[in-house]
Amino acid sequence: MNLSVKIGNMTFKNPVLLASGCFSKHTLDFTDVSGLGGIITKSVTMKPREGNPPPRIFETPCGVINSIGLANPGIDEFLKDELPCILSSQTRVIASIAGADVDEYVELTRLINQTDVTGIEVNLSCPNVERGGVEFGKDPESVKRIVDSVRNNTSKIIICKLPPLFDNRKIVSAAEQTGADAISLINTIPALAVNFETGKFEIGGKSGGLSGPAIKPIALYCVYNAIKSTNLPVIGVGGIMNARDALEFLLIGAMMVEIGTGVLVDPDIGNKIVKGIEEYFCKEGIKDIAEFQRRSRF
Amino acid sequence: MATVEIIDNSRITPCIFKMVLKSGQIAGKAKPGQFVNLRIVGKYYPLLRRPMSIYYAEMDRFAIIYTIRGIGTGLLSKYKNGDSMDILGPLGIPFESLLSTGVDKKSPFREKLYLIAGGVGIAPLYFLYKKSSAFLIIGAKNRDGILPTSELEHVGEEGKSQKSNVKCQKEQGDREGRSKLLLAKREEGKSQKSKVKCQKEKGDREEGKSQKSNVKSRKTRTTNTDIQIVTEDGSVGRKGLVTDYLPDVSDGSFIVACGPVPMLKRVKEFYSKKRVNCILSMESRMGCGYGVCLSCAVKTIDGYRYVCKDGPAFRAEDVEFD
Repeated sequence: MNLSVKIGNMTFKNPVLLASGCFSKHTLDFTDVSGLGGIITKSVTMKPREGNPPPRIFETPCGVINSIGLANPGIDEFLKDELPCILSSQTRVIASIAGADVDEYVELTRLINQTDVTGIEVNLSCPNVERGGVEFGKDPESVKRIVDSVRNNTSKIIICKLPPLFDNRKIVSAAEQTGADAISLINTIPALAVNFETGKFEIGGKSGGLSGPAIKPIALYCVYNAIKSTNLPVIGVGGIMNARDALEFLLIGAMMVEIGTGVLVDPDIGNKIVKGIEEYFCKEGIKDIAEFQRRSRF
Repeated sequence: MATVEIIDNSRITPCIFKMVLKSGQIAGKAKPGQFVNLRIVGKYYPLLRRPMSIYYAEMDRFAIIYTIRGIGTGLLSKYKNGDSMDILGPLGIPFESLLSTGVDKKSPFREKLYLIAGGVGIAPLYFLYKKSSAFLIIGAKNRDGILPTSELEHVGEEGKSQKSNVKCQKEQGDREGRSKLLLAKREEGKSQKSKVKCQKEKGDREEGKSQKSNVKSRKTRTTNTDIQIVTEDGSVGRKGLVTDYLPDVSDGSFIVACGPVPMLKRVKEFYSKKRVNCILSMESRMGCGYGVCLSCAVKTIDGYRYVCKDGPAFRAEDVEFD
């Protein structure tokens, strides 16, 4: 059995990645990531970011709304303190970057290009101040400009992380034209929670992003639409809690999957999902992911 | 991460549950102030783990206490003896790391240690109380929120040759208007204990007044321990809020408080002008419990810090309340 997959010129030992935002060096205290396809670091920005006012998290049925606000120590501290520790974890490491503008994306790329990471995931869910705060990832022109600039500054693989758009053809096409090696979706879904007793928002920054099992059907929908409109490898993200969920994304044509909220609940979930996929393939006599995907009737 | 067997899960008061779990691994490492993160199985709701302070740990077991607040704790109360649960922990920084960095850098469990608990905020303080020579004030809405006498009996200082046998009596308020006070009393024949004398208590006795004030308390430490109860309705102990009875302690004392935010805010204010080391054990909604998601932010003078990895306890002077 062979679970390996290839993105760009890089081979991953299996299709399971831990998603950005849900993995840091602290995760390594609770799980061995060497058996995973790889991990994606928390999005890093040029300058340190304090993050949004608390409360930053609120649980809803089968889901979690969060509004962390990209809290991170900034690129200098990330390169000095966080990344070396993660790079020693014997798995492929992808660095997630979040810029305030194109120049910041370029500078982040230059700095990270000098490290031993396998690739860069471009977090396009940051607000474009010049365009009235619209997320970069919702504007095809912004996606082109940013990913082009990133491409010009690295030969490492580039993954574009896209927001949850129901019709994502234009964005996917923009990413494809720029030389991205893969797209990943979906990021969290905008969500709101209020408390009628206190009369307050449940999240300090008012709204947040919904993740967890509640969003899996929406993620499957968006991933399926993206796969139909691109030849790029697609990484499915959203509500994956077990091997069965991961297999659903792979079945519709995703090349890999990312596990986010599930890691918060169970730091060892990645290994359990890899094991679950292996067991299923073994039981069914499936030799690789391509063979599994040929079963798809989609 | 471990799968842990539940030895006991029962109500110890009409609103407080105690769950005892068997894990030498967790119990062996656990220190007062730390917490465990429980995965309560309810399909995907609740989804996130639930952080719970360690109430005590000894030998091969540890305990938590909780009240039913929502779906998570509701399901927690349904677990039976012999069931098992997936637990991460112990997590967080123990109280001792803050207690030993005080101004005088003496041993952590010093003589002048005062613990102030509001509601189930008693949980981490009870563990510290068991391991120290401390004065403990417990506040709750009513008697149902106060630990039963059985929990407070025989809780002395661990590791001391003359372990104090403590008898607790929930004294009902008498007709003469005496303070309703639960005191841990030392057994006869042992050195006489100095009781905490509060001006309020004195005033009540002398004048029969029920005026609330932040009273001056004096306490001569012995090897014994003291407990004072405060309830909002006066159904047991003194009537009022725990913050109405904050001890007016001497320089160099240590205060550790855990409870609702308004209580912690008041504790901080009260001790801010005194030369005492005041530590607040904070609560916040958590995502992971181990420092990754950065959900459990609390505002401090150094910016946001995180309850799960930088706390749960913080120096009061560092915490900024809204």
